[in-house]
Amino acid sequence: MTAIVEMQGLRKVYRRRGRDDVVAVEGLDLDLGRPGTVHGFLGPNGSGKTTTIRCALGLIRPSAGGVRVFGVDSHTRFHEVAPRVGAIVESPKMFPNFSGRRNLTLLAELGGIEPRAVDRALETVGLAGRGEDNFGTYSLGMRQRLAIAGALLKDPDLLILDEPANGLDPAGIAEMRVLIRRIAEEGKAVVVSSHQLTEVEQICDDVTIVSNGRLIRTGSLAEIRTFAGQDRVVVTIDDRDGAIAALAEAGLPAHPRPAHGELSVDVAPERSADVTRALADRGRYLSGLRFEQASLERAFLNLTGGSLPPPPGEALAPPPGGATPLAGSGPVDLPASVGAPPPPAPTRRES
Amino acid sequence: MIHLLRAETHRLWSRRVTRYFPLGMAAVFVIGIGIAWAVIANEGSNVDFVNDMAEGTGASGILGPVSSVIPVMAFVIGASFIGADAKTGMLEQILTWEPRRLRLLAGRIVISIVTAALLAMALAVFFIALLYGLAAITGSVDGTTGELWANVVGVVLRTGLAAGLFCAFGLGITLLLNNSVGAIVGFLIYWFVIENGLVAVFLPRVAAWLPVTNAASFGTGAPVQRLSGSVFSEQGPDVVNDHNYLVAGLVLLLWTAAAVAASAAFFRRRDIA
Repeated sequence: MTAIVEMQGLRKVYRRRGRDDVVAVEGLDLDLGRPGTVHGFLGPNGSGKTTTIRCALGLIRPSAGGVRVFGVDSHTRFHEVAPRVGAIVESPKMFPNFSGRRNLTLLAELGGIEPRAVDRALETVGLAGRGEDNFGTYSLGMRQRLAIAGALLKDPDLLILDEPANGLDPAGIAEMRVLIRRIAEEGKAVVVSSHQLTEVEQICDDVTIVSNGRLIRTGSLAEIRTFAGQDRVVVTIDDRDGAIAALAEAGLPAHPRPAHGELSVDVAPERSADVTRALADRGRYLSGLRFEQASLERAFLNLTGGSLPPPPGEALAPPPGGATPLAGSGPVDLPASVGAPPPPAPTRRES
Repeated sequence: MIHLLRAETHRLWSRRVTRYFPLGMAAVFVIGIGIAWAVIANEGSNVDFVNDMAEGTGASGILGPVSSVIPVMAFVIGASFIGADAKTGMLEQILTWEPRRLRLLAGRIVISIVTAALLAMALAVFFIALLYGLAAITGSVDGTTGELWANVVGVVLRTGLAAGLFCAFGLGITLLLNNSVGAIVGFLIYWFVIENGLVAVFLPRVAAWLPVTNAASFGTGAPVQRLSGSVFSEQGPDVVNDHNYLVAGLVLLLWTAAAVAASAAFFRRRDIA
C-alpha cells in the first residue's frame, strides 16, 4: 500500500547568524502513514522529528529534497490536500483568552466546516463539558485534547500528532491511546511523533526511528523489535559473580548488569525455572527475578545509542536472535534504570 | 475566500484591542469635550461650531489632531492582529488550514483595512457629533452649510481610508519584525522622536514625505506643511506648504504598499517554526 507521506532526500539546514548552521534533517528518504494504521515516528530530542513534520505540512521550506503528501509537493501545493490533513505540531496552539469552543469555531470557519462539527469534535475528545472554558484555563492534557479536536474537525484522512501524550496524566495517556487507535480503525492514517516509547509500542503498527536528522530504521513494529535482541531473565542476587559462574556451569549464559547485584540471563522467560533450579542446585538463592522483554525501547536505544546510521546502501540486517548495536553504540545490556516500565498487566512482562 | 474573510473578521473582532481601543478613544473624546465644556462654562465664552471648530468650510480645525491620532489606533490594531498569532503560535495552526500564505495575508489585509476604516469613521463621526453638541449647547451652530457638511463627510471618509491604510501598514511592519510590541513601541518612538522631531526639524523636505505626516494631511484635507529655513537662524524657520492632501494620500498609499509588499515577500518565504 502506498504511503501517504513520501520524503525524498529531505534536508533542512537552519542558518544562524554568527553561529554554525544547524543541519536538522539530513537526506531523509522515508515513507510515512498508511490508511488504517498508526505510524510511530521516533527519535531522541533534537533528532529532527518536528522539523520533518513541519516540512511535510509546508510550514518550513526544505533546503533540499522534498515531501509529497497524498502525491502533491507539500511545499508548493499543500493547499490542495490541506483539507485531508489534520495536524498538531509540537504543542497545542490556540488563543488563550478564547474558549475551547470559540477556538474550534474559528478553525471551522476557516475551513468552511459546519458548526455542528465543533460539538462532535469536543465530544470525541471528552471536552464537551468544558467547551465554554477559556483555553488558558485548561490543563496541558485538556489542551492536547482540544488540539486533537481541532485536527479532527476536518475529518482528515491523515492525522499527524507531534508528541500527543506530552503533559498527560496516566489516565489521559490511556485515553489518548484509545482515541488514536479508534481513529486508525476508522481507516485514517495516523502518524505519531513521540519519544514515549512504551506508549508508541502499544498503539503503532509501523515505526520509524530517526537520529541526528537521519533515518536509522523504518519498518513494522515487529521488524523494529528484532533490534532489541531476545527476551531475558533478570536476576537479583547477592553473590553475582558466583551466580554467573553457577549459571555458566548449567549452560545458561549470564552477564552482570550495572545495577547492584543484578545479572541478566540470555534465555526466554519460559526457561526461568531452569535459572532458579541451576542456582538453587549450586546453593545460591536469588532475591529477585523479573523478565525483560525485547521491547521497542531497547530496540530504540540500541539503534540510536550515539551512533550514526549506516552509509546509504549498507543496510543493517538484524542477526537472528540478537541485537545489533551500530558502530559506537552503547552496550546491548542496558542499565536497569533506562526507561519506564509499562503499566502492569497480568499477561505483560516487565521490561 | 469567503470562509477566510469570515474567519479573519471574527478573529480580528475577537481581539480585545479591536473592541476596547476605539471605546477607550471614544471615552477620551467624551472626557475632552466635557473638560472643554467646563472651561467654556467657567469663562462664560461662546463656541462657534463653524468658525472655532471646523475652521470655516475647510473642516480641518479641531478635527486635525483627531485625524492624526486615529491612524495610530489603526496601526496598533493591525500590529496586534499579527502579534497575537506570533505570541500564541496560532499561525502554525492556521497555516495547516489555509496554507496559501499570500491568500491568507491578502484576506487579513482586506479585513484590517475595512475594520480600521469603519472604526475610524465611527470615531470621527462621534467626535464631530460631540463638537456639534458642545457648540449647540454653549454657543452657535449657525452657518453650517451643505458645503461644510460635505467637507466634514470628506474628512470622515479620508480619516477612515487613512486609518485603513495605516492598519495595513502596521500589519505589514509587524509581520516583518515578527514582534507586535516591538512594532508598536518602535512606531511610537518613530512617530514622536524621528518623524515629528528629528526629521521634521533637521530634514524638513524629507519629513514632508513620511507616512504619519501624510496620513494626517490626507485625513484633514489640509496641505502637508514643513519647516523652511534653519532652526538655528535668528528669525527661526518658516512653515510652508509642501504638497496637497491628494498627493499626501498617494504617498500614504505608497508607504502602505511598500510595507505590505515587503511583508508579503518575507512571509511567503519564512519558516514557521
